[in-house]
Amino acid sequence: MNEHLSRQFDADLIALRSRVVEMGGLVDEQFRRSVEALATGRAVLADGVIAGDDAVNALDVRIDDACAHIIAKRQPAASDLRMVLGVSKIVSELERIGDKARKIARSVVAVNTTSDGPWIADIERLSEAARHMLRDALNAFVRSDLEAAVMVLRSNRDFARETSQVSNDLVQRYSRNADQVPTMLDMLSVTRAVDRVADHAANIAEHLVYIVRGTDVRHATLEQIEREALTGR
Amino acid sequence: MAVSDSLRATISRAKRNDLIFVALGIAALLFAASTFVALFLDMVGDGLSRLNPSFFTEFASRRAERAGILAAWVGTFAVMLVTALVAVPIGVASGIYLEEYAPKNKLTALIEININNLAGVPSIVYGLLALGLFVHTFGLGASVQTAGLTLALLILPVVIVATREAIRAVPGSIREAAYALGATRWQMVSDHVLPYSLPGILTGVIIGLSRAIGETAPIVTIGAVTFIAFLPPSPVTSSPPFLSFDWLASPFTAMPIQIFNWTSRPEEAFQANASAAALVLVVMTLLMNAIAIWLRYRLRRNLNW
Amino acid sequence: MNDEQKKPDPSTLPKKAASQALNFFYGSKQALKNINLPIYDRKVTALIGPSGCGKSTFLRCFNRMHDLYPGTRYEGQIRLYPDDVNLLDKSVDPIEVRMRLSMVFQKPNPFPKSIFENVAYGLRIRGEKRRSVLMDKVEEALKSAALWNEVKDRLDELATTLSGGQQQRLCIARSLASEPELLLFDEPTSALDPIATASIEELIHQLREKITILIVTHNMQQAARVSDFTAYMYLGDLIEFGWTDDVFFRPKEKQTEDYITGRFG
Repeated sequence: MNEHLSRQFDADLIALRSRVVEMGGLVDEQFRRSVEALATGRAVLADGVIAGDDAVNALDVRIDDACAHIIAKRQPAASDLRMVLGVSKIVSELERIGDKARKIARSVVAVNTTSDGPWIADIERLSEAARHMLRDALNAFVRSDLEAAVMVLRSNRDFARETSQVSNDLVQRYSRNADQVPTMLDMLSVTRAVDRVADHAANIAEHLVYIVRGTDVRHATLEQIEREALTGR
Repeated sequence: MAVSDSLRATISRAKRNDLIFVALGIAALLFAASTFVALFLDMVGDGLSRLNPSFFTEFASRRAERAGILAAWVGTFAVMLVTALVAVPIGVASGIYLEEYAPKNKLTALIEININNLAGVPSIVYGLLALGLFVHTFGLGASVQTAGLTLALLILPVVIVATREAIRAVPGSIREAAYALGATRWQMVSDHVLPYSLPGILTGVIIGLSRAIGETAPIVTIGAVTFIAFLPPSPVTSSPPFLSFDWLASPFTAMPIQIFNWTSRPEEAFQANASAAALVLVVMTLLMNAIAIWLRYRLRRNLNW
Repeated sequence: MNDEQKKPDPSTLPKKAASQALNFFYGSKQALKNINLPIYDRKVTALIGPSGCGKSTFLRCFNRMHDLYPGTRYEGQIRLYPDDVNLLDKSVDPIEVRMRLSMVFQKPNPFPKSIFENVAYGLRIRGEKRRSVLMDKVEEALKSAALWNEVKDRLDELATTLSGGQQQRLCIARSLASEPELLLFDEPTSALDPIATASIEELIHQLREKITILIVTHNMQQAARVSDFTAYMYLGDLIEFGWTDDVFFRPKEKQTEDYITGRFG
């Protein structure tokens, strides 16, 4: 893409994108630590994640504000407009990932008293995959790489299957014992949170398709998205 | 501090040059104005005593104190009327044609150059042309019509140039507006260009006439009578068709000729008559210029582009 | 601009005019190159592009304004529907073309006559002499141009005493009075302040219910605001044409993208 006649506009857009990456890194770290806290049962670590969410929220507000200012001052059109709108959407996905990290951190104390070894192993494996998707989506955003974005969307389909498998296992193991149902519900909710993180990463990939192609693929099938993203039609 | 000092020095040097030019300009203006004022006052001093009603109602006479300018001012008026009636339609039409219709080619350029050159031809040449063409070839005689036609030729370039200037001042956007509504060229000219350029055209015509009114050489050349004791026949008659154009063919005299005639007399008394007549002529010219300025002001108020 | 989500395929819409393989020359210099552009009925079509791209030249082909100046030459056609006549044909009198299509110019150019006479002029040269008819049509045109309430008590005053924005609306009324089939706007707000510009844009918005409009503008936001279709031109070529929503949100051509996002070098 050529440069704008206004260098300041270019600088504004570059700053906007780098803040998104910054926020992506922060959210990724929050999520990693929340799962670590869960696996190790370290409440201190969990408290740090809960406190750290303020920084995520502050970045969310700051980037949204920057988007509003660019729209007001520059009246962006076409790809510029889609970039600004897309960034605004990506940022709210990131903010929600931050919320999920906080939620997992909050359940550390409740879950850890009856730590279930196989389940913890599953969660560690799944969260690692979700973090992969998140990083891939952010890298795709930085490079405007639609192929990478489609890869993220594909991974999410497999991911959903795996999480529902893990949830089903939990239900099988615990539902017979009424005493353990509250704990099971906490574990289910953590499982769902990890699944949501992967969903948000996938949404980021969809927003990237919108930014690059101008088509809203949030409610399209994966096949439609692939066709749109990779061929432009 | 030092910077602002040197700036101030530069500015005051530049301002000194301003003052010097203003002083020179005022001096030049005073020289021109005082010359005119001196001449005018001299004329007033010499001629004022002769300016009484009978001066305007008496014919020329061998006795200076009884002589008047009746034949001269009526003659001048008649000649100017013919001049205007001939020069205005021809001049305005030519101006419109050249500006709005003529294709931009070599022939048009040649005609334009010639019109500009005509404005610079000495007036005596027009007199000679008229003597050969109007007096001898067409047999129009040393009459009002010959003088009128001659002076019309003389001011034609002025009228044409003034018309073209006035037309050119009408903005292209107005022309395009008329054309865009579906006007033909003639509708555009007659509904818009001509009305809007009228002030400029009128100004040009009056300036031309005020030049013609003082012309002596061409009228002398065609043989205007220097001593005349009758008026041209009246244009209005008591019997049908109530209009007569005999005045056109009548011999005549005019203000400049009367003045010229009196100044060439040896008697001192006629010099006073000459001054008085000259005063009248100058006032007539100034009056015409004043009308031109007033008209331009009046009619241009509506045109603010 | 358009609220409806699904925009129909333009080719299904009725056309008011269309340029076909249009070339235009100033002397030996080609100013328009093979322009094929449909003008859809009762839609606003905006022409955008950098200075010298030929957008005004193109507009002025429609009412044969170039015929007024020597050394200009058209090739190709501009067809006007529904009677399917080629406006550029040698056998078609430019006066007739200008009687059917009206134009509003860059700078307000009212005649230094009364407000009434300005609006009535087009009718007068069409031979209308009846005072009552003139009065009715002048009133109607001034109402369509959203100027009637401001001038109804001063129709005999000079048009040049109006403000810039009022003068431009008067020029629009003057163009509307003769009920043109197509209204051409040549950067109609470039000499106006933002408030007057907004009122002209609102007027264009209202007019498109009744009349097909072709507008040249150097103000991209204006094109985005007032038009249904946008054509981007560059150096005499038509680069892109489509629904305004599409052209401003996801242009197909990189050149268009660069221009509307301010990357034009």
